[in-house]
Amino acid sequence: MSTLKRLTQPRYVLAIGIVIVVAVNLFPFYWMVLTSVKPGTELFSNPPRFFTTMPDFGAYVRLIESTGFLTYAKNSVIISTGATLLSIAVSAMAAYGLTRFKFPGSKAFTTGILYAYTFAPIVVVVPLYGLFRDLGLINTYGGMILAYASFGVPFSMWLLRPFFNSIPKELEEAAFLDGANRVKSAWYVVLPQATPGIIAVSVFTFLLAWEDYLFARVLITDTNMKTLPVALHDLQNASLQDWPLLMAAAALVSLPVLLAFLYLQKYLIAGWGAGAIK
Amino acid sequence: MLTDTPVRAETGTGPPLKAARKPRMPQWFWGVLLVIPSAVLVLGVIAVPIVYLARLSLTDAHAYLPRINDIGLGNFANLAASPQFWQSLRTTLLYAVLTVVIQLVLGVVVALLMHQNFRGRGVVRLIAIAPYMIPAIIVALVWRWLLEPNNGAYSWFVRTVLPGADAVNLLSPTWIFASLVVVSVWMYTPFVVISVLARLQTVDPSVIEASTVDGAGPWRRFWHIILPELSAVLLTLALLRFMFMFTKFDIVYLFAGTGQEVRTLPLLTFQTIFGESRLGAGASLAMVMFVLLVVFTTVYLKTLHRRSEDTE
Repeated sequence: MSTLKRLTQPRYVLAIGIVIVVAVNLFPFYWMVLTSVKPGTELFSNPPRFFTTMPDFGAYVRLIESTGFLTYAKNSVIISTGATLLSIAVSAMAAYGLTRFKFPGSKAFTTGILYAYTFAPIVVVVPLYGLFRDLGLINTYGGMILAYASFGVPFSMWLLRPFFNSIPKELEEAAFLDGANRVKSAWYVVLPQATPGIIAVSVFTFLLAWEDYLFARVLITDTNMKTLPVALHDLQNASLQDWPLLMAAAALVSLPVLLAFLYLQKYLIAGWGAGAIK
Repeated sequence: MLTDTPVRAETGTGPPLKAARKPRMPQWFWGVLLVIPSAVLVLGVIAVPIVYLARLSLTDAHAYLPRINDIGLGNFANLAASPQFWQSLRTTLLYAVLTVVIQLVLGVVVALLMHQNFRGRGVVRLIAIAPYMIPAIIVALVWRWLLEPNNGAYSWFVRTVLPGADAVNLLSPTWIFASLVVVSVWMYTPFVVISVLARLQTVDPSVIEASTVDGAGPWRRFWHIILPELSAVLLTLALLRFMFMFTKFDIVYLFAGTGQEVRTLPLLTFQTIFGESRLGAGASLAMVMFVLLVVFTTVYLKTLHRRSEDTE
């Protein structure tokens, strides 16, 4: 009885809750990394081993040497980075334009862009394939960057608008008095203020391109142009359940991203809170 | 906000002299100019394809047959008469409703936990949102390995906790839908957590403090103070998540495959077009989803709009 009472005290509820969240979210990652370094003899041991004393990095070596992983990683990095840069540049311009100037159709454009935000890739991908084929954009970095950037723009602009909105117009007016022109004031006065938003948006746009499977599956037919998600899926189909190999690939794809998030996380919730949902 | 705000701005006295500067171009011109690039991108990759799609959906286009015939609304008539289509629509609705409801409930609980002050909160928060940050293919791979019926961690767990019991194969057709729901919830609940957390940070702590002083317990505080504060966000999230789950392709396809049990509309579309090469029929399916999305989005924006009026 007294134990039960003690356990329902807020701080114990909190502690238990946190332990559950951490365990449920972390265990799959732990299992992923563990599987990737388990020596073959321990892999299928029964009962399974929950740790290993002799980590074997053979799966990583095989992955790098025999699967073209680095090529796919390069493709993914180029495409995701390109899409992020393009999307940010374009949507920051638009967010600035929409928050500083009133013009015919600016309201309609804002609403229209929200419609675009809810767009399902599966609806667009088929006609896009036809369009890309006609324009020679299949299997090109440029095409993939365009595709992901355009999916990033509605979302980025939606997140960025509140940041630009929150920057007082008086700041810019003061800059004008000091002799700065529009471009200078936007670059030196407004942009630094919007930086937290821009970081948050960059991360989410990068992710959008980094994790997409569908567009890459349809718009890339050349093996050497594949991105990581497609390459991993093909590897799964081809590898006859070589789990250490697959888990090594999974670890290499997810851990760097998670580490980056650890560093950037304070911007993420702030950026999200300012924009998407409020 | 940031602390490196130029001080000059605060101390600048006198009226703004905007009128004194004569702009060389009309102001609205700048606005249009700045918006054009994003308009071109979005129109080029979303709006133009939709028109193309609408056109395609009225034909019997096939990937390997050069002749394309106009068949009017024939594809849509076929859909209406196809039990497979209705089955797929039911599966999609069930998938979307189930995952969204569970995501919302769990998301609020986890967000409330993450909102508390405790040591290591930064890292724990990252862990709480980590599943959302990794590609669907990774989630699919890791969970397929966890649930693997022979050597997966799950089957070992069942055998240990219930000696003698046979672990059901959670990847078999009987269970795959349930497993898919669990995995989807695992992956997408963090979206709700982040959003609710962001909203919680704007709740005035003095309101909660006052209620604590008045003797309200945690439950009453939750029902009467926190939940009403969150209601608008939750409504928005419910609509937004529903749209996203309704059209989800990656995790369904990568984790669960294309079996009848999990053949949601996006999968049926993908299969019709890329599996059976029936472009016209697939396009009509995509059009159905497009129309449904436009309806959802309109409702969603109306709700958002009404809410922002409420709070003003």
